[in-house]
Amino acid sequence: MKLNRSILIGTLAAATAGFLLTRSFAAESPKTLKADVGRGAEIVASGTDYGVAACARCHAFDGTADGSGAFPKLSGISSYYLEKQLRDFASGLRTDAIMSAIARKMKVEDIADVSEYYAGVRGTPTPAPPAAQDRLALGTRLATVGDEEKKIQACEGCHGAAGRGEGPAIPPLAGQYSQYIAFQMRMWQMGYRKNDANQQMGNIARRLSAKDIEAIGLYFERLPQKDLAKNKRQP
Amino acid sequence: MAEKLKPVDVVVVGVGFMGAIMAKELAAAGLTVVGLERGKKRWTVPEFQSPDIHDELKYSIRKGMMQDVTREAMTFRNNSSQEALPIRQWQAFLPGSDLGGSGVHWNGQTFRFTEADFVWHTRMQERYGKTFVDRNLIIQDWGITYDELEPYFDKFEYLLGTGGKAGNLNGKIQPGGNPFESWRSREYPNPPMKEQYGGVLFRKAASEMGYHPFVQPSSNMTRPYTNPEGLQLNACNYCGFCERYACEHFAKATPQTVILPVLLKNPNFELRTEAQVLRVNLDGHKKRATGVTYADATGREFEQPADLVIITTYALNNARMMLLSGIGKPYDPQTGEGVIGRNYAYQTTGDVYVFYDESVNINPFMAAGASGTLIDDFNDDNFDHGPHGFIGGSYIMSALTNGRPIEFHPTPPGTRDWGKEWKAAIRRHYNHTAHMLIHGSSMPTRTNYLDLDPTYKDAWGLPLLRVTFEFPDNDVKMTQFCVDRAVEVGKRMGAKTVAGYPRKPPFTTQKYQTTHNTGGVIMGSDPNTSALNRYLQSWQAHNVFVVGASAYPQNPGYNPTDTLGALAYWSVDAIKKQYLKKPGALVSA
Amino acid sequence: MKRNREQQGSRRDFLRSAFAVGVSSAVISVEQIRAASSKMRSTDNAKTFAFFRPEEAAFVSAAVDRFIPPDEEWPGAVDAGVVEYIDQQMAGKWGSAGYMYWHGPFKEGTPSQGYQLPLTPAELFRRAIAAINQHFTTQATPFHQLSTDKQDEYLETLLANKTTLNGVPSKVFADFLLQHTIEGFFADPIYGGNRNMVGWKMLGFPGPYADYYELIDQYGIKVDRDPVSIGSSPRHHAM
Repeated sequence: MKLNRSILIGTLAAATAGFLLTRSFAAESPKTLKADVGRGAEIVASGTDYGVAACARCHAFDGTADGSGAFPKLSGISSYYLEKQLRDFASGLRTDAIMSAIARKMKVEDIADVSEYYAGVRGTPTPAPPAAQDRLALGTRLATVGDEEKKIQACEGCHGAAGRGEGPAIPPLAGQYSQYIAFQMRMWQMGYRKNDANQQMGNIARRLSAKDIEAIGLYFERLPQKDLAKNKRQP
Repeated sequence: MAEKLKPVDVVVVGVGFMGAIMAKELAAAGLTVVGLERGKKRWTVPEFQSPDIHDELKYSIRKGMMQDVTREAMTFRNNSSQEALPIRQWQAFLPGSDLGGSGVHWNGQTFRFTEADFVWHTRMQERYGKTFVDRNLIIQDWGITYDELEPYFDKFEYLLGTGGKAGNLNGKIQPGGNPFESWRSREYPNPPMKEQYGGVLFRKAASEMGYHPFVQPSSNMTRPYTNPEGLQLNACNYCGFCERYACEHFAKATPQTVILPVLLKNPNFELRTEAQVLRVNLDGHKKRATGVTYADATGREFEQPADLVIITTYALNNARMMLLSGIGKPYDPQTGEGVIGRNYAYQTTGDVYVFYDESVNINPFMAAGASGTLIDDFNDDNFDHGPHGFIGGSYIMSALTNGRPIEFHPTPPGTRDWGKEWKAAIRRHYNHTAHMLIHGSSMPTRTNYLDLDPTYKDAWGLPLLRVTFEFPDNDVKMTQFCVDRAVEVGKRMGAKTVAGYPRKPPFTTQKYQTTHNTGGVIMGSDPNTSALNRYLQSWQAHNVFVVGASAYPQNPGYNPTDTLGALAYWSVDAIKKQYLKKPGALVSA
Repeated sequence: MKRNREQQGSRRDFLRSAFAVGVSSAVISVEQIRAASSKMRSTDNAKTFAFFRPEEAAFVSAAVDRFIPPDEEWPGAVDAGVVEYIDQQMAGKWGSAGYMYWHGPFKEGTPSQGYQLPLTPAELFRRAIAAINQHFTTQATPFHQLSTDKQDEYLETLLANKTTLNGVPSKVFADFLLQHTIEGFFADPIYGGNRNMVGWKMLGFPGPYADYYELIDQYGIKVDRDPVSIGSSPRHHAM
């Protein structure tokens, strides 16, 4: 029984991996897949018995993570975006020491379910650490106006008014941990992260100084995380 | 009394795309250059940032980026038997203004004219005989060949970062490109745009019918790009706010993104904005410009002496500037004599709407300025016109550049245009309707022309430009033919309803039909029938160059900007290599 | 021109209670819509408009609600704030012909030559509506109290240019009013119309925040997010 099951799981895993790898950029997750929020909550809370870790261990059950900034908040981010990140972790298009291994264990349904779960969850607001006025002013300027010399458009032009995102493809930044934003910006900057659609982020990040990046993180962190549950996946 | 300023080598009148190119090249060559722009400075940051820039009422409806019609309008009539009246609000064509000019709010559609276009008169005679072309049409050769211009097309496209797929590389037809284009020496600097859903549906139908669909060449960046001037552009986001708007992403090729920062860094160049040039001044013999006179924002007048005057104020305004300055004899449609104002042409456009059922989400708002899919099979001289009795043609392009709702809410024919039925219809069809633009040529006639209005004046008391224009029968036949072909493709696209709208006379100023005004200060080989020689140098005043689509003897079915950029580089090359070494006429009359 | 903040606030609260805000799939009964709008009209006419006199607002409200009528699913022009939009436009630069070449002589032209009347948009409205209201003093019922069928009939005669209104060809005025109705229904809400972006929601237009690189070639995808107005950005400014 166990042997058969592991063969089955192995086959399924292989098929899943193959399936994920063959998914081209333009082709989206299967349109026929209907996400199961309840099952998503279960996986988030306790993982699966085939080795998918419980998301809540790092990201918390309500998506607020643990306050350290090492793990991003996930609450209210569109299921489309979350699914894409998980798929990209699984395929190697995006890499992370922890997430890559987890994503590779996930089935297509798991990805859909946990994404749907976190997309609909309302996180807990976290207090933003104090920030110097000049840093905030810099961050506000870059985020809402941009910089001509550096050829940077305002972040919010894509990431939405007050950082609420532009669903379903462009994620919100409002309320996200400034350390996490800064970390990702450095990943874009150094070319370790490359999984955005139009190679925009690397370009932008490479034109920003460390001070700019810090300032942008500080700006977005203190914006209220709106209820973003309307960023649905496509039918 | 105008205050006389210190002389400079060059004055450039109008700092749009061509003005920026001319100024940059001449300043880099070591000349002192003053650029006079009537409008204001503006930059991607902060003036072009979203969401504010995506304001349909402000920019599409109230024409926020356009020439200030309250101060400087034009008058219009269909023919000389009518009295011209002011165009009190731009609708049909939308001349730009401010730093960067129309180069800021254009769509980035980037087509070269063909080999045939530059020798159009000769080609029509050779292929169809001496009596085929309607006698009312005054088509002419340009005095230049495509082959001469090719390197300059290349230079301009690499400046812009145009994205596309070559269809003809050094004579070899390439799959994926336009098989009808004239040869190019190398690939585009960037790959083609993504296709819209409507474009993909069009492509399938057109291919099945034996036509040759390809993706429209686009100067909305298809990927991050650093141009030969060292300027960095970002990738286009297909936001659906391209024409009439500025780009917040540094993704549209505009003077601001591809050349102005370099120009402004050169200490040889000085930019003066809010400087309204009133006229070019000539010496006593009227064979040489001495400079220009302009008024500042408070109305104070200045005389700027210069050795070289480059006029780049936009095609229509170029003609006006020549008339106001007395450079070139004004064209008289009665006698056929004179050169300034003759060969005025436009663009003959039609539309086809393809109505799908509700399962097909077309998403019109996902669009770049130049993300169409088109066929060139019925354009230019790409097919045998013998059986059809007209010359010229149109490209047939599936494209929706936007889904902005004040402008775009299509309904099938027979729907009333208000009320409960209309409201239900726009809701039903908004996201399920594809569109084809039938973008066609415009032939010049003896009676279509530009001159100065006898009655109406601008805010400086100077006569407005008067436009006298009607579609010639040739073009009416042409557009009907092309729309019929397009409707056939539409039916093949598998839609429920297809509606074709060919352009019919009278030409009206009240419906948008492109800002592709051409002619009025045309180039050619004969000073009796052209205002400029092949280097865009005035036959009359040798230190005056006029760079605009005003130079085109007729307007082919392709968008005008690519060819204009090539001509600008060609002209400034001649200035640098020939004129500066020996100022004088570059072509003996 | 700027509406009293208090009034603005209370009207907004009223709107919220009158029908659901921000959720496109809410079904509102026609009765609710009519009740809400007639209540708004009775309180607003006398005080709120910068340009429209009460008798002008009465006609305009009724007329635009025929151009874009309320139905079971979607509000009509009045509830979308079209009258407020037109009012602001008439009271501002556009209304005083600040965006047009406004030098004479003014002469009658051909249709190809476009608008040539020596009347600013505001003057055009005032003059034409005065003629319409004058006409209805000779009728048994004022326009805004006619049945919708009769209202439609009258608007059709205007659009068909069957009469002149104090010298203004009726089609010129009617086309103008229709154009303004469409603008008011679909322009960004910062201009007073398209309340809660109902016009955009009705069509499925996502609004001014627009970046579709990743989605454009996912052919047929349905974009499901609520639109966001320019007004959501603290830096925004209207014309």
